[in-house]
Amino acid sequence: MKIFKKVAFVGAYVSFLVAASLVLACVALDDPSGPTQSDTEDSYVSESPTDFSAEPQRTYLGQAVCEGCHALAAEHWGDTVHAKVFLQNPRTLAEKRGCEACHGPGSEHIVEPTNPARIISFTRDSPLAVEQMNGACLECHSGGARIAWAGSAHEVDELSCSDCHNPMNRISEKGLLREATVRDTCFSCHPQQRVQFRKRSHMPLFEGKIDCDDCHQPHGSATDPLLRADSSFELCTSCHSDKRGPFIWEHAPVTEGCVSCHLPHGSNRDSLLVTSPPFLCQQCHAQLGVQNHPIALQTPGNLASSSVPGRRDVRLIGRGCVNCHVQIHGSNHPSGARFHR
Amino acid sequence: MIGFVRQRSRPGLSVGIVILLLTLLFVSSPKRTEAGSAEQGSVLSGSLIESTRPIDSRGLSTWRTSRLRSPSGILYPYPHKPMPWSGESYQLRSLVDFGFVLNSGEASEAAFRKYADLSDGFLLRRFLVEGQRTEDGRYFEVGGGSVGRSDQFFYGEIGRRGLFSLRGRFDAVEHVGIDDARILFEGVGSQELTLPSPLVPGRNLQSDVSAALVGVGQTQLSQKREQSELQMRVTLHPRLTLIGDYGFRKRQGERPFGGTLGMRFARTTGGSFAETIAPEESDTHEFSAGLEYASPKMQANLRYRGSIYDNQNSSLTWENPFSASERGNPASPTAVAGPPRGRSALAPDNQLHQVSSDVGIHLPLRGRFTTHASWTRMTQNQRLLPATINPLLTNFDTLSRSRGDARVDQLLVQSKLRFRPASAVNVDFGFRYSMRDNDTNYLSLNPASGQFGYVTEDESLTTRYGAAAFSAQRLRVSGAVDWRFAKRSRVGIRYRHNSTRRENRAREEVRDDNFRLHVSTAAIPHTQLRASYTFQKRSGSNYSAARDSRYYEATGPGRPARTGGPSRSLRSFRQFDLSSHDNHNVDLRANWLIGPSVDLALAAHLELRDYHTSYGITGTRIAEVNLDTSIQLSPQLTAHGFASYEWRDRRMATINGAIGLGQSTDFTAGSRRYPLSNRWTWDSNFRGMTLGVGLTATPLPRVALRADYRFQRSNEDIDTAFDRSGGALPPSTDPATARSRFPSLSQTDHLLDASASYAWTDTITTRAFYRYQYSTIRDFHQRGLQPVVNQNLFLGHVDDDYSVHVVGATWQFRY
Repeated sequence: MKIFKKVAFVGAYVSFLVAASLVLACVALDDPSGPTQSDTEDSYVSESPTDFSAEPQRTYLGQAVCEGCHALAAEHWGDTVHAKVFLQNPRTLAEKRGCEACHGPGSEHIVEPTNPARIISFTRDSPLAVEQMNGACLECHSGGARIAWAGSAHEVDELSCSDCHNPMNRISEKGLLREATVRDTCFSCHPQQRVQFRKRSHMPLFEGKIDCDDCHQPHGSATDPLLRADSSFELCTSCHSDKRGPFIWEHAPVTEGCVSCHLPHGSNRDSLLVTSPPFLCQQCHAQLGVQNHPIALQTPGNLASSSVPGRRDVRLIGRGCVNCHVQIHGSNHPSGARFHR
Repeated sequence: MIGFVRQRSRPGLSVGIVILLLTLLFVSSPKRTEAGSAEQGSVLSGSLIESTRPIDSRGLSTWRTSRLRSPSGILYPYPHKPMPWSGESYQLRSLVDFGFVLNSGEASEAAFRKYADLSDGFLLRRFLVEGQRTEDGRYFEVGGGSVGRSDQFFYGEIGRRGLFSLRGRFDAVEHVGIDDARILFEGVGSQELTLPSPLVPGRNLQSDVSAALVGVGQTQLSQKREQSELQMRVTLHPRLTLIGDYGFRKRQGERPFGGTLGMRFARTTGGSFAETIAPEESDTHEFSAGLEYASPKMQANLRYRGSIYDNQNSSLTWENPFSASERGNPASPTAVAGPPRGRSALAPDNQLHQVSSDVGIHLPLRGRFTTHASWTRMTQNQRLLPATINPLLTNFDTLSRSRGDARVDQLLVQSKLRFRPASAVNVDFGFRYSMRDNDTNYLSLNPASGQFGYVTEDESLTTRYGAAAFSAQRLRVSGAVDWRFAKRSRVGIRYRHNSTRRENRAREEVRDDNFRLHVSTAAIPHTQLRASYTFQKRSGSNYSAARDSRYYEATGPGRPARTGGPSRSLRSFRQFDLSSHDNHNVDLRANWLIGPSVDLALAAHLELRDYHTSYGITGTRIAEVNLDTSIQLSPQLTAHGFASYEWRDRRMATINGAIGLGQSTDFTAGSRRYPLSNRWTWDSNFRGMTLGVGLTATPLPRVALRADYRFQRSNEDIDTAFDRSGGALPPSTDPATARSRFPSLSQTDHLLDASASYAWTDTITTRAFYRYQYSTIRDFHQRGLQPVVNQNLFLGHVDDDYSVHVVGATWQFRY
């Protein structure tokens, strides 16, 4: 097993070197003209998913022609980051196209403006497949987190870029989202999280201190829940670094992932717990001990409100087991074997 | 197998790591700072665009008469009017929004103030200054909100469009945990909690402590978190971007903690518990850098991320409020003295370093290969505290090592290959390997005496060999096929096999087989439907609770003889994360385009899990249903509504062990150790309902109204079942009168947000707002809670009901 681990590590290290070499080689050999190139500035033949090569040759008309009919759309678009880049500091041939950078050459569109097949469009009415619409966006935005897009949960579910983004209008402060905030965009399809963030203990989403994309990478990631990290433990401890350890005494469920005991969005119990103590701990602990205290059944008669003072039991009061096992995420005390210290 | 005593051969590995880092000297990229779409905010500031720009009644298009929808059929909201710029080549625009806030009701309640500052007073709700030079794309932006409040935020950015950007952010939040703590101790906020006179550590009766608490008022415990971040993004080349990020997070405050000196349950003798207060003062430095490369054929990311956590407080010492025992007579001089104090270690300083890479390559046949690899090292080398603060045991004054010397390495390699044998068919293969290697290996050894063990609760010695280190390896392979059978319609199937091998857990190997069928279609008129069904089967190697017993048992000279039971006793008890089970998941999302301006959406989730075990969690059920509607009749009138219902059931069965059977080692269900008459079960049933409506209206040209109301109610009932003549109950409980059902854990919330604004001119707007929050929480853990309960000291926190009205007005000036 150790040899296997070493081989895996060496393999990963070699992959880094190979990847680094490929990057540097590509940079050295690359033509900086831009992601879409053509021999002439006035023609367009694409090999991308938005390939209209079966159509007659289309030509670019220029932004001013588009604005002649679409002045209102241009006014709204003008406030977006795309417009600011395209109009103020275009660096590639595609960026200089303006509207036609995304919508493709408009020569056929002005001949038949009501035919949606004559221009690249990104709404429900578009005749294009989702993959073709996304391909137009990915021509410029293929890097970064979109590397993991193919095969990701959203891609497999036929989600289009324009399901979450509206580049024609600035509704959100950043990101050209469809709604005013990241959370409102996500809640369109994930409404249950809207409920969870309002529960008794919750992450401060509605208080404006966190948003869905602080923890999730909707464009794709190495995890099924599209986390911005390789595991829930790594993600949560990026903010809750005091729980990261490593501790000399580890608690097994912590190493498996924070979701062993916590609900990540909100819970009706304190501290975003999956269920209430002592039951939370009794899900895993059935050992004997002093008075078999991990596994004894507590009843309402053991609450702090019990009429018999001698029956009030600390395991049911306040934070339950964590009253005493306070270092439940792990202990760095030489005597912390039971997470008391 | 990771051995107990091992000489680390690290030099070669360290050199390799250094070479790796040097290789990646230019490279790294933070996962979280990619041209951020995250907007900073606070409860009062609202979203920037919605709060500063009116809806544009002209809509998005002059030509379209029908509303625009996304490819999945979701209505796009009406646009907001862009803020005009002043100037020609050098352009500027700005706004300031300020006013006041007043509240009445139980506004001091912790739950109301948890992450929000709605206190009375002046409100600088938002400010923003933006400038740009249109001829070359240079720009700057400075803004913020809730200035001077505990949830304030600021940001600033400079750059040149398409070339570089440098953004700084500051964000604050206060987590108010408790507002009604009654604190006995002195020295709150420090690392030493002392008792007020005339209390003597370890020698007080319950009545003495109760008397000392008379007249002690309520104190707030909260933590403030302030976060600063600097993000840089530079386009080195049209296909190559350099990213750098530095973040600093500071936490300050106090939080409830705990300290036990012996176990003091109902009817046990000896020991006490005190809910202490731990100081929180820590800094976290986060830094990362990366390169992103993107071309039509290939994309790659290389990243480095580092994190350093620095805790200013290494320990917490508290004086014991109670004697060990009162021997049944509170005023008796035969009360037994307890340990005078206890000391706990607080979170140690730690570090994380991670390098990672992603590569994506387009292949022939519209194929694609992607791979992700990352290597992470987490370390902690804090100086260890002595085994005990009490001089009761002098033979444990040296430790096996003076520092933590803890290290965990993680490796992840994941690759996917996609190819398209036909134009409408995708075939995917996936491989994933991850490894967690804990190389800490702490021994509970006093090298001076050769004795193995640790000091329990600063009082007595307990045998123990060392700490179990949890390492694991996971291997997953998958295959999937999907077919586009119609326009924007796709059906697919996926199979995954996952094998996890763990060290020092009860099951060496756990295997998961996962089948998923999914469909997404727009082929049904006026509908977008997405549905999936997933079946997962978990199996694995034999389960043995004693797999980590070597950390407790003696097998050679110098190791302690075993006492007590094995680490997890009941033989047929299964921990839920290892237990074999079958899991069925159904997900459904449907959007109905029921009118040109009306949407109706249904989202449902069902999860059924049956564990193949008689003891432990035996089954869980989760069901969630959400119905949403959006009505956008015109720019002057939009409305939305939603209803949500959720239920969660969880069941567990176990057996309470019989007491006083010496060294019996038969731990099977039905044995003398675990008689069936001691069996008990627990059943948790959670039901939650949420309703919400909202309205945005512009009844008159310069008047805008907005209202949102939400009602949420939830209830959890926990039922137990047990043989009243058996031994499931602890000795403190009278079986004849023990009830089976706990009081409900419930919550009810009402939240109303409403505002009305009037635009005097295009640049001046007045806005009045009203917010009503009502909440009740019933938590049986707090029921009847007083500070002193049977030689246990609590802070006495109870979540009280609250009802708060918040009103305010602001004036917004735009230039």
